[in-house]
Amino acid sequence: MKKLPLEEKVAPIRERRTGAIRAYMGTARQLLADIKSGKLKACDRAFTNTWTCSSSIMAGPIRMATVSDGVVIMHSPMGCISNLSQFLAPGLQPHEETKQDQGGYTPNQPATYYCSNLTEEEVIFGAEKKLRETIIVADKRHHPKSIWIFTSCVSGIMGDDIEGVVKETQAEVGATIVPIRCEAFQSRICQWGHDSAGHAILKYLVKKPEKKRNDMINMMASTAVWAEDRIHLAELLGKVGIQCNTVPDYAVTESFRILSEAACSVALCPTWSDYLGKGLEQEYGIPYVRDILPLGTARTEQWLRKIAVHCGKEEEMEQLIKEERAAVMPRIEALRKQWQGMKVFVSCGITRSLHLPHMLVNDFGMELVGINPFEFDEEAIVDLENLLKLTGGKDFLVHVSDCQTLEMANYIKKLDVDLFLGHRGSVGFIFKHGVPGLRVGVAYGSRHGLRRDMDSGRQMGFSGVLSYARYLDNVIKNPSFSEKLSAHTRLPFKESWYEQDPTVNMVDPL
Amino acid sequence: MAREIGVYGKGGIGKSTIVSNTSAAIAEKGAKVMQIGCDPKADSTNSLLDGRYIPTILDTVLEADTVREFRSVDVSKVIFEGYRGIICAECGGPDPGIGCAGRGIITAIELMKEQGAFEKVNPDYVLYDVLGDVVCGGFAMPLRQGIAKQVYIVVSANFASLYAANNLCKAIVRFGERGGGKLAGLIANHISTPEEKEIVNEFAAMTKTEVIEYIPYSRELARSDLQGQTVIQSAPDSEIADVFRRLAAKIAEREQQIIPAPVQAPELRKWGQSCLERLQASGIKE
Ligand SMILES: Nc1ncnc2c1ncn2[C@@H]1O[C@H](COP(=O)(O)OP(=O)(O)OP(=O)(O)O)[C@@H](O)[C@H]1O
Ligand code: SF4
Ligand SMILES: [Mg+2]
Repeated sequence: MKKLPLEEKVAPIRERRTGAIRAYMGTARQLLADIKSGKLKACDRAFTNTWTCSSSIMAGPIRMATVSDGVVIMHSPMGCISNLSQFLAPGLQPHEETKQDQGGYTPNQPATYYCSNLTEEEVIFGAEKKLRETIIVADKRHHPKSIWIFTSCVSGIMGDDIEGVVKETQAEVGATIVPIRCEAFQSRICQWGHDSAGHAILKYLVKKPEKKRNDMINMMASTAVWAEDRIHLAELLGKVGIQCNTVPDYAVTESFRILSEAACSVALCPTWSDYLGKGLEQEYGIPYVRDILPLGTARTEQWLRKIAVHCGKEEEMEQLIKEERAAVMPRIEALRKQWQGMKVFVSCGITRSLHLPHMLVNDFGMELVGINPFEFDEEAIVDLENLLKLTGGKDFLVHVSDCQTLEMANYIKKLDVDLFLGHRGSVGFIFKHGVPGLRVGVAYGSRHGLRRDMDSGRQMGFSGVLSYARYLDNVIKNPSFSEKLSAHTRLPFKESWYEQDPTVNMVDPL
Repeated sequence: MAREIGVYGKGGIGKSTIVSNTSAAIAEKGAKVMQIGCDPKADSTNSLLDGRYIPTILDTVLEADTVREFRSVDVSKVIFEGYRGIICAECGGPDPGIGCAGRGIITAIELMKEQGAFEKVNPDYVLYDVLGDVVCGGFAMPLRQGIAKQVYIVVSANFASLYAANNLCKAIVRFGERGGGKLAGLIANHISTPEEKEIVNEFAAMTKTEVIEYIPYSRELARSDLQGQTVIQSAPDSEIADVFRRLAAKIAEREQQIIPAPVQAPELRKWGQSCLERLQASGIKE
């Protein structure tokens, strides 16, 4: 593993650190061969349907605004914070349970975030003073434990000395200041924002361990992993006396500080935690578990066993696994009979596209016809290899794309898919093509992660398999939604597009 | 229509000195001249103002409390009349090491345009004295469409200054093709020997332009500059004053606007090496 340069101010961009790509069309085997031989071609786009900002979205103002005793400052013109306003405008409404679990976010407590609101004058003369003042005001008003500063393209071009301001100001405020340097234009891989956050957390927040705790693990999951799952897994592990220190969403500042004391770190979203997990391993020797996610019964078992080894709870864990399995397996067997051979396509972030098939294939007996991960990199090679093992060596389509609906539309009907599971960015579009499917992880409607009814959005762990099955059952039994929708929708593409090669816009890295 | 001229060149090469003395020489002939310093140092016009440093356009916007005020500050407050009625303005900018000086130049010039500062003065000549190399888009502002139409580059026989001039030629290629400023010629400064003259001439030939005037090293000029005056004012009968009068007359007449032919860096370096050898052979330490 390459050493993470924690002495630097900025995390290396993902393209460089993990060889990440954002476009590919081929099969799993082809992709693996291309990556291993270093002959990847056409792995970027000359035309793109969608894009997002590494800093204002991915680095995580949205995420860190959920840290209940923290304040977010976006050092940017106003527009860069608009994403956050849209997500969080109504105020945070975490579960009661989330609140208990993670340390005290009061229901309806508004997210606290500032934007330094850079003006033309400040762009010319520098805005270090304003940033400093914003930090001091935020500290005075809210007495937070942490202040998270996010940089932007503009602050990067002007070259404000963010770390210098932090150094100068830290002594004057009670909060720990965490500057996240992420100038969005630097990388073509927006997930680089996650690394920027991890880099800063490791540099500014994580403390030297006071003790090593065998009874605590770090559970790393972004909002994309629903609260239902995080809470369920924490309860499960709690049964054998293992506590979960969950970051980043709805965590408290202290959760980040004690990351160095855990028995191991587990990734519920390997894309998010890649940098932080590896950094903790590098700096504090904390084992990082990323290849196995608790999606599907077999994988949940493996996952629990792995954790048990790190915590010295093997026996208790075996007992727990036995009990949990016994409760769900008969029902899963029955489902498998119904769904055997159903052709499924999964389009989502790496977590689900590379790990959810373990449940779909192994537990439900479905057949994987393709996946559509948002990005792909060297870290994910092992995940793809595991998927090939899962399908018994049967190859499948890999389309690396972040909801590039234009490209997906082109091939989805030709693929013969019975069930499409996709992110909200693409799934509606696929329905309109008459392909039955569901949003990959959210039950009925409401905002993910922040829902009130507990187990409807659960996917992970043993019982997650059952609740997810319930969720899938609706559309499998009754696919009329996509049928009706497609019958009454005019699609925006010309017929000729469907005859064309979907990779026309894919080019060698820009 | 005013003749709008941008003067570029490596830092310290003598741009401000040359621009001010030329402005003075043009004004002496009775023309209305406006000189705009495009450098956060804001020292371009001080030898037209008896050594006075004037407040800058960006100083005034600093007084604005709101964004709306920022774009409507009265720039006429910081436009001054100097020697022989030359209109002097300085863009100004942030302190060294902070903020974005390039953006500052863009904003300052936009503000003057928006407020019709040029129409009010109605000058025959506008001379922009621009900081060192074109370090970013901001400093290229005077080159862009609709601002300086003719560009002069100040060079000396020093290789570094020719290297910088070559880079400026690249910027001119970029903007010139889009209807921005084009090259009118080179002004050679600190030229005391035939070898030095030959070197700048060769460079001009390589890049497809011409040297329009050779300015010798002049103690008179340096002293006058330090005292905050041009030689036109302090030593009107000196030889060096005549050099600037000649330069002013040439600039007044010169219509040339070309897109130069910058040289590839390795080729330029090779040529630079040969220059050095020549200078050494002639006994001059470069
Ligand atoms: N031909 C010359 N003879 C003697 N002294 C000169 C000559 N040309 C310029 N100088 C002196 O060299 C110094 C630098 O000149 P000047 O400030 O005009 O350079 P500049 O190119 O404007 O510099 P900058 O890029 O820093 O703005 C000044 O002290 C000036 O008086
Ligand atoms: S300007 Fe940069 S930081 Fe701001 S939203 Fe756009 S890409 Fe993100
Ligand atoms: Mg100068």
